[in-house]
Amino acid sequence: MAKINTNSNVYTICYAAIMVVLVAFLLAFVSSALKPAQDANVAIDKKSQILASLNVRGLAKSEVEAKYDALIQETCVLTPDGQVVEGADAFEVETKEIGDKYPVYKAKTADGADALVFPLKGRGLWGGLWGYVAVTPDLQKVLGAYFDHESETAGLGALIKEAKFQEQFIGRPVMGEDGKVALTVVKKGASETETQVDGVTGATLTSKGVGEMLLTGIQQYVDALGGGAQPAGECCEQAAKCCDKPDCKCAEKKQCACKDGSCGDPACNCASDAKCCAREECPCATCEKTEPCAKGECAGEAAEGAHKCKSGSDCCKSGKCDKSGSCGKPGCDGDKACCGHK
Amino acid sequence: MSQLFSKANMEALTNPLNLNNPVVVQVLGICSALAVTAQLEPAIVMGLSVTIITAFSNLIISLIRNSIPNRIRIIVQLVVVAALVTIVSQVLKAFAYDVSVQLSVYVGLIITNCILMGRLEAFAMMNKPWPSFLDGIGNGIGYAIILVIVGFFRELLGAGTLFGCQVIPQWCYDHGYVNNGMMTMPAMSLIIVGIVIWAHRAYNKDLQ
Amino acid sequence: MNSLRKFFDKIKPNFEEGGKLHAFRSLYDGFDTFAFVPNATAGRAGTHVHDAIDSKRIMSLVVIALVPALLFGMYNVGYQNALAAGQLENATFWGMFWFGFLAVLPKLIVSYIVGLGIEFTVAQWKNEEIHEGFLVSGIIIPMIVPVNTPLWMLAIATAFAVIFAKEIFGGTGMNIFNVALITRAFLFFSYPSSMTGDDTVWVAQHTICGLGFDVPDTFSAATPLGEIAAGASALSTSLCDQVCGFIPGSIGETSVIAIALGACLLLWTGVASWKIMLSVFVGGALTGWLYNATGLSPLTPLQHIVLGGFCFGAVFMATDPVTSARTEGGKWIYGLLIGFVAVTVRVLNPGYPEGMMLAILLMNLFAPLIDYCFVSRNISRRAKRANSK
Repeated sequence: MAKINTNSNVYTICYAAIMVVLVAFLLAFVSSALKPAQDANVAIDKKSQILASLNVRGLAKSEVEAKYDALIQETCVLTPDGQVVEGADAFEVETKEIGDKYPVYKAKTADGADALVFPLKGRGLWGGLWGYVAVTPDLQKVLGAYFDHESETAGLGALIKEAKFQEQFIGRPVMGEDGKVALTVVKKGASETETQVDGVTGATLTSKGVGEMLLTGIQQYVDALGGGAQPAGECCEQAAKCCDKPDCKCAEKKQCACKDGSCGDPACNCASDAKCCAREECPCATCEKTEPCAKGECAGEAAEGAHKCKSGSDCCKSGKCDKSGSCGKPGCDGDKACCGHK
Repeated sequence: MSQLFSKANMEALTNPLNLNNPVVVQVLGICSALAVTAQLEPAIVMGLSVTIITAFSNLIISLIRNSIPNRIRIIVQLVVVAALVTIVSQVLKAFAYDVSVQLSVYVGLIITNCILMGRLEAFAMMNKPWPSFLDGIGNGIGYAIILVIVGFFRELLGAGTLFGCQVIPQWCYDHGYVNNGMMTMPAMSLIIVGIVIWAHRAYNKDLQ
Repeated sequence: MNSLRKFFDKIKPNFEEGGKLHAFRSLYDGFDTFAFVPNATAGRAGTHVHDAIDSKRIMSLVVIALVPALLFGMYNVGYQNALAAGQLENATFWGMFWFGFLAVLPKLIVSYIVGLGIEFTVAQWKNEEIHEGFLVSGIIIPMIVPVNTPLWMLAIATAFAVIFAKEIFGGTGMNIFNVALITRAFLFFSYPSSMTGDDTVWVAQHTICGLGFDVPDTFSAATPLGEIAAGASALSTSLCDQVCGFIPGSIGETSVIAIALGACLLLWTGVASWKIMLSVFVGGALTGWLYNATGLSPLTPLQHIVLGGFCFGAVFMATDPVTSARTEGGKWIYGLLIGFVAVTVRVLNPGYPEGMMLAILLMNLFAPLIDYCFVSRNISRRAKRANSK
């Protein structure tokens, strides 16, 4: 057999082509063969993080799946204004998407209490943070928490990943006295109320990042669950502000967070609850902050009959309804808030 | 059999473990030695991965060494290494997910590990498959040994654990002992590698 | 003095070749030459420029220059303790000073024993004369750490710095980095929570031998720079206190006045380079002004200079003749960049309230390069001059 000239151009090109094709096939095969196992690993990792927020920690990999199925009852994805995204799976929502979508998990904690789990995202000192917070269905108490980070300082900020830090959150109240989310992290020893959790010693900025993530993140969920014009599916039944919405069937009206009287009560004091004015069953006469709408803000004839609330927004919403529209009555054009006024 | 484990072959296997160690004598593969040794477990996995990849890339290149066109031999070597690295990385993701998260990009960066290309160019291109395979194993293990030594000290002093289990007793912490945070940073592993080199050369005078 | 000389002469035979204490000859030599200027003169071969003072005498001058800051640091330790306990009116001057003295003394002793121990061992091992370099580092080390630093950490860090920053480079005069700063850097990165964490490290909290006061566990006091890094827009201490040094901080670095006394001595005797000192301050002030003007930092340039370790670093550590730039032009560049980097780290790095340590270490690294550039410039300039003739 004549020796092939391995330095010829033709040989070199053919050799390279064959090698590349072979390697490509090999890698494609390996990749597709292992894909299911890899995806399962990623899913198990995420599930074990969610379970950690429900105080189920240290599970072996094989147990995670079963435990997750046992504890997580239902999930839904909300839009920022509280609409349920049809057909979306909360588990598929990635951390970076939080803020556009709000995945909510309805679950039971390790000791059987009902809980809602909210995934959160934030920023630490060096990189991103994320976490899961389990709260009671009335959004008043923390049942468990899990935090993780991309690149916080080892031995300092990285300690937020430790159970010791996360378990401090169990049993803390979520809301402050003003009815807004007050759960946060402060410098060790500086906490004044139950909602302020001790931070990690020496990691002021990471602790601050976690605190910030909790404050804004949970508030967004609270708003999404309570502030929408439409019922947020099954999840919303448990939500505290559900009674803000006229057509939500609240199973447990007593859990409503309206501090100044429940929604149906004519004596509802709207002083501290601007949204109250938007509800038809609340007689607006009791709104303390009345003031005529500024000229030009409320266009059209509706302005005369409009609520005269200081916040202006409700007033103007009805005032701007000057076109015929979707809700069957003249004066509404796809403006849901407007339709709410009927 | 005696042919397989002849003196020359055994030297190909054992030399890199000590007198021709790729890390402490040739000072190759330092970057990954710094990055993955904060804990013992990823250090061992990394060492094993490199051993497997070096051994098999040496074997493959040695098998086809006579057919490789000289002009593109580095590219061919790279393709072989890259394919093996990708496979190892995929396997780790599928079967050792936690470790692959810890190793993150460094498995992929094995491609750039100088030990690999060095052995391919210097050994596999001019030796038969079996000695090349042994040479790969030897160099991989020589690299792994250093990683394990560094990983041992870094995890012990940096986190007080070994393989994730608490080793330093709690009463030490109660009496004011604190883990050394610098051990968890890559800078300290450079110093530990330095100490290992120091000890190694102090012992082997002829290397000085 | 005469009797001391006689004593040294009397015990000398024991340490000479064949003497029973020969193994400790470097120890003897070290103490002998520390107490008395050695008689040894340079050989006849070659050219030697000989000054009346040798390096041990220079070191001693620096140590003397450090004493005001050290003494004030001791007093301030007691003062901060009394202030934190709310017992300021019950505290006497001497009570506070002795409390601080007792708090600082163990650190001084540990630093010297560990550092000198390693120096002596290495000298013995390599069969060399003892180096005197640690005299200054040994007193600086306790002055640049918080008062609550545990002694074992100090011992480990000192050992690390002496071995890895000095001995492996060849001992005194060969080190690239300032040894005291390496000690602090090691502590800072290894035990961050003991060096800056939760602001309980700056004030001594327990009585020592009946002196001082117990401070409640929840007490915390941040350094002014720490307050700014935590997001405060105004400082809780007055500028007057900051200049005098009645603020929490590392032991020796708080008082600008005490440091200024030392600086005067160093400049008067010519031990430290006035070019470096001045350029560090100029660099820091200009950078501080820049950040203040652009709104990145609430601190004025003056505050940047007064607070933290800026003065201490500029006077005692940036001017270290071994690790700083040696060319005259290079000293300006070296100093300006230290000031610039120190303030930049303070302002722009959210994790580190203080940047002086990192700035000096970084510029230590660049000093040889700066020198190289200046030397080659000088060479080429002279070559040009020679050619043009």
